Amino acid sequence: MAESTTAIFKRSLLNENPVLRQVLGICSALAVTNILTNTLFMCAGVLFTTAMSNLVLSIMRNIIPQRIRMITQVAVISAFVVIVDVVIKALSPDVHRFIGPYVGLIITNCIIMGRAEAFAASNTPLPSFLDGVASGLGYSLVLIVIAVIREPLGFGTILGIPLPLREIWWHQWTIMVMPTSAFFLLALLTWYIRNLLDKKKAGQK
Amino acid sequence: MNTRNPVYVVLFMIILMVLIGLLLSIINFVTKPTLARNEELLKNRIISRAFVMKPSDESAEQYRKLVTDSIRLEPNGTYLSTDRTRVGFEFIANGFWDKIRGVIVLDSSLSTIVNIQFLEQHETPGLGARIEELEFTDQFKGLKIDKANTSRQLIQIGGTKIAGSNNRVDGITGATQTSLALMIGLNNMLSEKVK
Repeated sequence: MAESTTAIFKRSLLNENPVLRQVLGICSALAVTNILTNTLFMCAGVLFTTAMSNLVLSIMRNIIPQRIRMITQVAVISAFVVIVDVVIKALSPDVHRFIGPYVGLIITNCIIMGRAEAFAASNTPLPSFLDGVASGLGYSLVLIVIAVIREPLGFGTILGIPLPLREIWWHQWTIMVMPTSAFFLLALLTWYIRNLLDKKKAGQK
Repeated sequence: MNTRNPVYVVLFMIILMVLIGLLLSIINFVTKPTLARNEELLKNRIISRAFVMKPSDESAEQYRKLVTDSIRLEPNGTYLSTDRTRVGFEFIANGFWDKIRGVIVLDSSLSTIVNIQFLEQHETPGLGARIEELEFTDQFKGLKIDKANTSRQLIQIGGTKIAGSNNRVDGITGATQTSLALMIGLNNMLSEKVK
């Protein structure tokens, strides 16, 4: 039976969050979250690519040969990544100067292949598209939480804007600039959310 | 259709690749003029900012006019402002990941830096890539080049401040290698041009 839209979003945003529960997309979660602006661009890129590639692969699901389904998935996802790259470069070269390297990394994000294989390959186009959007949002939520902690502590800014009166009270916490801090923050966040969800599940039984 | 048939598999792959290739070629063809215009605007904007010159508006036309009217590219590759008060040199540094290319502009006595701007860099986003940010580049405005003391660097990026020196700027936290690479590249270029 097809999942409802609410069920799809609830699953990807919380219960089966791609980063916290499925442990997918970790690399970019560690790399880009020291600056919130970069994080937001990466999240937008991943959301678009996941949703669109899920849609296209779902439409093609009955004609893709099983032997080469992964190659087909990579080809389709890569095509969307190139489209995102070229469109940003054409519309806003200033933005592209900062996020260009990240865009090429979108294809390496295992969430996109993961959802293509786990959902789009065996579901109809609209739910697949919504699943892509929901997975992208679930990923974005986690990255934004980490970035909101790392940027102020590491750089004393938020979205590039200096924190109020930071000359008086702020001291740089250097480790927050490094990916190392993301390891710790992600682990703590995963622990907290999993604990919360397990207690909720136990309470429902 | 039988998706297990090897002929079908091969045909499917060929058709898919041709379609994707065609789509991306069309997008490339359609965006090529826009990308070329953006590239030119970006370069003109970087050179204008390096010379601390502002056009009357932010349009590509005004930036082109400013660069052609107020800055001359000499045959030896040096940029010279038409009033001859500022000289710009392109530099290349071997960055942490790849080449860092930029323009550094000095006053006519070649002893004070007017500004520095970057044409190209592939450093780590959020770390080394922050060399492009104003907070870093603004430090170079008015920086003196230490020509007198041959045992020291002409300019210093990061590291301990030497007492009495006025040729040092802060590096970028977490981007030691990029800061060092930039310092080496700039000092190599400057020692050829100003000593």
